Amino acid sequence: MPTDTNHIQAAIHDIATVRYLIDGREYSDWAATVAFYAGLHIVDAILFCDPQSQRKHGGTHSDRTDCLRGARRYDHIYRQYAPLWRASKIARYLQNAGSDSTILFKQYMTVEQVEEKLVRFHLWQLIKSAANFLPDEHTKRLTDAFAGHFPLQDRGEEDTQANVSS
Amino acid sequence: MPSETRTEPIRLVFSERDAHVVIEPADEDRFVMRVNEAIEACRVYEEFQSLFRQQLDYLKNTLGTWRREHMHAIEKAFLTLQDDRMLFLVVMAEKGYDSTLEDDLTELELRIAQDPACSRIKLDVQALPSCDEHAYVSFCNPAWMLEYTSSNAD
Repeated sequence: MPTDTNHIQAAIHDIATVRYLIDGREYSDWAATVAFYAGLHIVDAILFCDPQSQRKHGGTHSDRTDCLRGARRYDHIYRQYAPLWRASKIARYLQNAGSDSTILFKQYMTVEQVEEKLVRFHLWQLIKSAANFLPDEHTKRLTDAFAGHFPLQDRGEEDTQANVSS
Repeated sequence: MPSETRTEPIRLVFSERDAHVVIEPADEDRFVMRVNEAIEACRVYEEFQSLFRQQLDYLKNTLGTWRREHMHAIEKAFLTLQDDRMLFLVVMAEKGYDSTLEDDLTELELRIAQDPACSRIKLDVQALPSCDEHAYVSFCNPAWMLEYTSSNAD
């Protein structure tokens, strides 16, 4: 079974992939999907590290959401994770009538919206909230990786490592 | 082994409480218990059904109220089944992402998940951009699908 370090590594890989897909401007559906999987790995790292968690491994999507929704201390985590999860389901499963073709996800979310709403807002908020549960070394790796691909000054914030865990 | 359809009920009576009962469901699992345990299982099942019905009614009303409060942004709303849980499926009036609606759905999801009055129910929520019937029905279980309309939303 993967460890917390494995999940952090996978999340960092996914963040880099999201950057690549956004820069390609074409595949907002896959950018949204990979952003969700970055969030999923961060959640699984939280469950692994949090001694109060009812599960050490995320398990199925249902197991993971039940675990997050069932404990108030994860409310803020879930508030960021849920929109990522739902957007990824639209990206993967919504089909047009008759044609069996996937509805153009970019009509729902442009690449710019994926970057602004899902990545720079929800995924970043998730990383910040995760700092309350993860060891500092994991938080630093995640924030450094995120800032490397989505520079902090571009988000119009003054987030620093110092207030990440607030 | 297949048998003819039985017209008489199979009676388990308390006077035979120590006798063994063997139940073989379609999946070829097998339950072996004593008659008095089968009687107790029936009681538990009835209580569960009653509690689940109460909670389902409460859930339907809660979702109806939420739907009414968000009618401006919603074209259709359904309560259905997906995998091993219930799904509140909302079809938006617009095709574009609505961050306010998404946030409100998350708050609804958290409220229901943490409400003791819904303790027996696992509910997911999903908003879809405006789409045709073929598209949204693919997220539903046609065998159990309740559509919220103006008349039943209360």
